[in-house]
Amino acid sequence: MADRVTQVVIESVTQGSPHARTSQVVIESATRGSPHARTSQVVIESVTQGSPRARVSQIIIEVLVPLTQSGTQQPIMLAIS
Amino acid sequence: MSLIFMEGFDWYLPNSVASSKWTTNGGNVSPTAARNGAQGWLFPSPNGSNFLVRNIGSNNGNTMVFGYAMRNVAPGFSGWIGPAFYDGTSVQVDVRLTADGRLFITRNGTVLATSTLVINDPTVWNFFEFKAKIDPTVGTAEVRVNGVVFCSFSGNTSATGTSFANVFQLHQLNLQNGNQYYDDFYLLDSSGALDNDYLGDCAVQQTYAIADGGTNNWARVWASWAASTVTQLGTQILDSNGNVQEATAVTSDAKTGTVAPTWATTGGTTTTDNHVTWTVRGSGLNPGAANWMAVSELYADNDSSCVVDSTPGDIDLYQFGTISSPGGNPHGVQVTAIADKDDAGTRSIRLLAKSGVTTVDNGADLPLTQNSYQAFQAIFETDPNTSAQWTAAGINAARFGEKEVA
Repeated sequence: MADRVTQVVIESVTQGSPHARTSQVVIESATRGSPHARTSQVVIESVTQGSPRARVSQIIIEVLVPLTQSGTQQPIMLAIS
Repeated sequence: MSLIFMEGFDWYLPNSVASSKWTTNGGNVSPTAARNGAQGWLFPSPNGSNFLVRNIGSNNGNTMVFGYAMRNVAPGFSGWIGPAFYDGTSVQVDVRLTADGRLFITRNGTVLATSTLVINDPTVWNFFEFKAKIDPTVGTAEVRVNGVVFCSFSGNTSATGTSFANVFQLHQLNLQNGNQYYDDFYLLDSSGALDNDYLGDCAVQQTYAIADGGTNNWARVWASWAASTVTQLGTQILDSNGNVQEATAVTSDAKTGTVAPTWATTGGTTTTDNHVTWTVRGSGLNPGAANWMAVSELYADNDSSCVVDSTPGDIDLYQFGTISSPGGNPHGVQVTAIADKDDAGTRSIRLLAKSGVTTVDNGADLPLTQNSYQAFQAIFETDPNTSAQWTAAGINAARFGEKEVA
């Protein structure tokens, strides 16, 4: 009786030959710009020596004078204790 | 130098709080409070917390005397403080009033002496003098009214333990007994040869410049008339004729008119300008402008009329109105200038008294503040020409003013 072989599986390892696929290419490069300088405001501050004027708006004199001991002096009375 | 200050309240704007020389809480300058001159100080009823405060120098350890005239000090609530000497913010000694009208001295509330006298009529002017030496062991304190000793104390007069006072405070002495009126203050200490003890009843006379005083190096600056402008009493302008006009009365909103008035041109005559009445300074027809006019307005008007200078050594002197002293020789002259500077940088003045050919100043530079007028004060106790106590004639012949020094 002949031997029967119902299935033969032959497996082998082969070297693939994949296609390299590139869906997007981005090229970036650094270039030297040529900007415009822009100045919106220039403020110059400096410290200067002031030249003040003295100002006198009013000047008065007051004199302390003794008053005579006249009848306007009020008498003093003893307190009731 | 013994006199520290005198105060008559005449030159302040009416109803103001005298802030150029005092720190105040309640009360105001008032014509109704005058004993001498135009104005005095009013403590209104019934607020009993009113007071006046003033620094009196750096830790004065001398015997000090404060004199003042007062009326309407009726008995009432007991214990309210009148004049007081302070160490900073702490009372050393003060004078108070009992419910039955006697005066007593306390060391910050501890009773040291109480009078057996009362004031006969508190509703008329009486002259009080409070004398004190602050010391923990050898202090003294005494009160006089109209020259009569009310009460005295010797011993510990120092509540803080120090031997000095550097602040003077005058409280409203009582409350709910009507308005109280004060005038003619003096404060002195015992440091000098003159005016170093009780002076008795005194008055403070004030006078303004009435003419240039022989040397007038300073320039003068005037404001011009402006339409629809609120105008303070005393404000001065230079009118279109070259005359100086002073606001001597205001009504309603105190505003000038919409167009310049036709100015009066004779000294002393007036022009009505809406709600402002202007008076021509000087005398005669078209008196023009002079330095003395710029500094003699009724109430200081700051930049509106002033004299200016920026050259060290420049002097401005003025002749002042006549004073009289029938009770004896004056105790001293106090010169007060309202001054500032108009830019950054150093600028100082000194105040001057010239008598005969001798000119003296207050002895120290008075640095000015930029765009902020302040009152600067100097006291001259003796006549520079005689080195003796002033006479009324000596004061009337003297010149006073200011010098730009730096």
